[in-house]
Amino acid sequence: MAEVEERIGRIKNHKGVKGLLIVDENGKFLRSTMPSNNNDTAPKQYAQKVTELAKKARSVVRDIDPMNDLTFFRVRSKRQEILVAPDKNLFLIVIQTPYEEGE
Amino acid sequence: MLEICQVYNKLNSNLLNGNPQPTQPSFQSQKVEETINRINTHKGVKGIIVVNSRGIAIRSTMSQNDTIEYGSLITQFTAKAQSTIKALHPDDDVQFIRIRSKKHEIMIAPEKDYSLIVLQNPSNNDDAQH
Repeated sequence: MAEVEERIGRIKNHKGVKGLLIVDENGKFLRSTMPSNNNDTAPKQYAQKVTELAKKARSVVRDIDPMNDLTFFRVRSKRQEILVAPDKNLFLIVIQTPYEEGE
Repeated sequence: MLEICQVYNKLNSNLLNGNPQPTQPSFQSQKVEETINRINTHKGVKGIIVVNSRGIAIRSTMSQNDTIEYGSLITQFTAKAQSTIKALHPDDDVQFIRIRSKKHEIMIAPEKDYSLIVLQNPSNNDDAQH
């Protein structure tokens, strides 16, 4: 557990990371580092919407080749970048603000 | 990877720009071809598809069957991604999507009228960073 916490801390403290969510297949929170008291979109909505999208990405990959599977998924928009790492029954979602190359 | 993103943007702007040189209509398509070739010769690239807003491929370096399959699935997916992003922030727009699987990586650069789809082998190189 300590190792998990350490990893979450490491990701969370990375430059540009706004929040980290661990959700199950139904979009239900297991862990969240996002504050829920600001004007930004609620973490719950992120969790549900992004989980749906990640499941769709997985089905795209499997439709093309049933032996293949999604390993990582990234959507970059003007405001932010959403990264999703699926595991068997969980999704790790990280939301970060995109920053310029040259770090 | 940064080079590929820059090339995507260039390709998309080539496609979207009105023709600034009406007396040389082949100039723009030559630039497009050149860009597609440059992406195609990049290490690990398996295929490139340019689809229009309806998901119909207007240019592809892959077989017809693959093109149709990828083109339609990915267009639907891109629409779903766009609606997800809009649902989270109405003034936001998708700029780039990357779907990495065990066997390959699909990169999608959607624009208003076209989307550029590139299929490549997944790379674990340190320089393959966005």
